[in-house]
Amino acid sequence: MEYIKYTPELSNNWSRALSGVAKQKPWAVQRVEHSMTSSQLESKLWLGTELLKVHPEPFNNAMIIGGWFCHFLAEVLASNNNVKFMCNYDICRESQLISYKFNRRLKDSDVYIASQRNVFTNKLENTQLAKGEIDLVINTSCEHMFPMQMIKDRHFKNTYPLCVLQSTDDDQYDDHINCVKDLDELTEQAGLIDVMYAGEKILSNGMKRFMVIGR
Amino acid sequence: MINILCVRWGDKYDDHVEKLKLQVENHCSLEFKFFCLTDKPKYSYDIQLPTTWDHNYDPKRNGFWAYRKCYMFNEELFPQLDGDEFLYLDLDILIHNSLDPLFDRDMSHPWIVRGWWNDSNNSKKNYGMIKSTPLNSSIVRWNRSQLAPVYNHINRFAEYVFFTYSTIDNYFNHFWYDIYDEDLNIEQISSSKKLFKGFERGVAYSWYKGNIFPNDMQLNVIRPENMVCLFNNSHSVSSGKMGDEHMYEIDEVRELWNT
Repeated sequence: MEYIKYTPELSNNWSRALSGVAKQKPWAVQRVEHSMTSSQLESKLWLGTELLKVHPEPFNNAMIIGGWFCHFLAEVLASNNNVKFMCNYDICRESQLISYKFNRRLKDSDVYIASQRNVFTNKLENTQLAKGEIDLVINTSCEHMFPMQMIKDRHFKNTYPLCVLQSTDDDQYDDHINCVKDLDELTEQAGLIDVMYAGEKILSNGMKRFMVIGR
Repeated sequence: MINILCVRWGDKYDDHVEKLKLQVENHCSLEFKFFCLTDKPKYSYDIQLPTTWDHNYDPKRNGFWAYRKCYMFNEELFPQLDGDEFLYLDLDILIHNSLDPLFDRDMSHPWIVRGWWNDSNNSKKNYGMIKSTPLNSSIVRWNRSQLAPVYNHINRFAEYVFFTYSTIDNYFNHFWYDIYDEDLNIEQISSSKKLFKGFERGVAYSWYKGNIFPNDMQLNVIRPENMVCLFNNSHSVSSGKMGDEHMYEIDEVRELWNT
């Protein structure tokens, strides 16, 4: 996967989202800019590519943890990986609201919802649970949060969704509270026992990213 | 009965407790009992701090370093606390005016310092990055059992909370306050996330950060029209940068502190 298809529908959503943020939430403009860098796109395209190799079949119900504005990721998952439904959990209300602007087309077609909820301490959205078993868990920002084993223990005691996890060893930022030194540590933190992909990539901003896919 | 509490651990603030007690006696006309929750009880007002959460604290990370302040939210741990009204004060504060108004207010929700020196938009922008909290736990006012949910939550998710939050103020902001709805009246507050209500302007200002954003932000000045001056600087403490001077090293402050 080398690019996102910039369709008229997507263009409409994203341009409205950007102008809406500029007008209504000017304090969030810089955050949105940071979410749309080439490095952000690279890491999501990488995810889409490797996930398709490991699992070419559709996914029915995906859980995204800390998905932020989720513009690139939602589009990749919907168009490249055939994800039928996804819920993006983020603790930040602005992220929830802004992500709805970017993903209006997906929300309207019942593919995307966003939830301001901490899934380490709270239950999942009823709307998501009503969709049946969650078969895909994605966290592209593991360095920002507690180890993923807690999510498995709390929500997936008896099921084994495919997990796609990204993290980094770049600990220069205060909010990188859980950097890992390598792929093994990322795998171990999540308690994955069946690893189908493990790789690392230097993004254009110079940051090393790790990604593991497994159960 | 009113209980006025402080918490001291380690040796850094050894002499501050007596100073705080004197300040409280000078600025509270109501009948109250004064207690200090401490790891090393020495005086009649000292109460032994529990150690239940010690194993969750990692000195290397220094995350959630002020966790000992949260034991008091479960009053049942301390039989000495027999009243229903509680006021917690940090040790490094300067009280300018009467504390009595803190006991004459709507107590349908507990109160905490809302740092009005913070830019709300900055707090919103940095919410997900767990920084720029608008809250400051240097002063907390609650009635018995109101903060039990906080104690119970920390107790239940201790490993997660200690790992994730560098300061208790950031933790409070994420779980017990709603920065996006803080202008609502108390009557409209319903969700558990909105447990805390922020003190109004004029209750507390910060020596190191100012008073009210954006127009009254001069640093390092005494504002005697306010109730309390705060000297804590959570960020510098949590990040290991103890560059700020101790409050009694400031001539102007020491003079007031000693009167």
